[in-house]
Amino acid sequence: MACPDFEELIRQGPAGHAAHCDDCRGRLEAWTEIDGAFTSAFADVSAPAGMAAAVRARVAREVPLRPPSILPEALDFIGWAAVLALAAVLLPQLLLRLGIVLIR
Amino acid sequence: MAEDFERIVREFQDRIFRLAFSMMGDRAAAEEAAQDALVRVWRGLPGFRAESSLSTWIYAITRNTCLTALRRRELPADSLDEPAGRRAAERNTAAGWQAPPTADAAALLDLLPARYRQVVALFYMQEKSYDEVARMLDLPIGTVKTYLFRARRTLAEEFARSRARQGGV
Repeated sequence: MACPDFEELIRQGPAGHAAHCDDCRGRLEAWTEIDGAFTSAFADVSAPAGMAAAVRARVAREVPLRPPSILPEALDFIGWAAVLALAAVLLPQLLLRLGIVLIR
Repeated sequence: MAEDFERIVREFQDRIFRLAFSMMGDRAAAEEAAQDALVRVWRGLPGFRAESSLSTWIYAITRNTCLTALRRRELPADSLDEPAGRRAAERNTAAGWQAPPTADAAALLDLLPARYRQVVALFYMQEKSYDEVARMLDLPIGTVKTYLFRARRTLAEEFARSRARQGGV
């Protein structure tokens, strides 16, 4: 692309500088033709008709996704509660015995 | 969640397919990759935390799915700077742009390096939206414009040269 005005010419269209410059006019025509070829080739590309149905069928075969279970958290809570309850029962007795031993 | 996924399929299936098509180069491979991407979206949906936008997340999954599929092909993925026209003929048959509706566009695309080819195809598929192409490919919009300009310039030069040759004969 020898002509530095080429980009501007694209915006101006063939009525501008290209009308007087053979080189630019040729490139502008080529550019237009390329644009037309790609527009007609790709403008209407969309997902194939059966694609969404195929995806739904694949997803239906997947293991159903559920929200994360609260069971691990519940078991965790029960476990810690049991530890604390045990400590609450045993610790005073332990301290009591320790105190008696110290007094003697 | 099923309704969310259904909405995603409706809203994004065309764009996912086009992105896959621009990366894979043929419709059959693009459809397979697009389906895989949507299944991955389904699997990932419960963990989607909206830290990025939904479209950014979906496009990233699609690009990664296509890259995995390209790697799985025995043929190496396109070198970013390798003009496609220099690729072996059998490679063009296997994975090239034989599928686009017109042969002219396919032949033109084949003259371009892979990174330009992808941007050009997606640009025309996405109604010439620089912004959408940039988002889909996760590229700065300036890069998209530069790639498009260089690609068109290359093609226009090639076109003009071939016309001159025809005129000269």
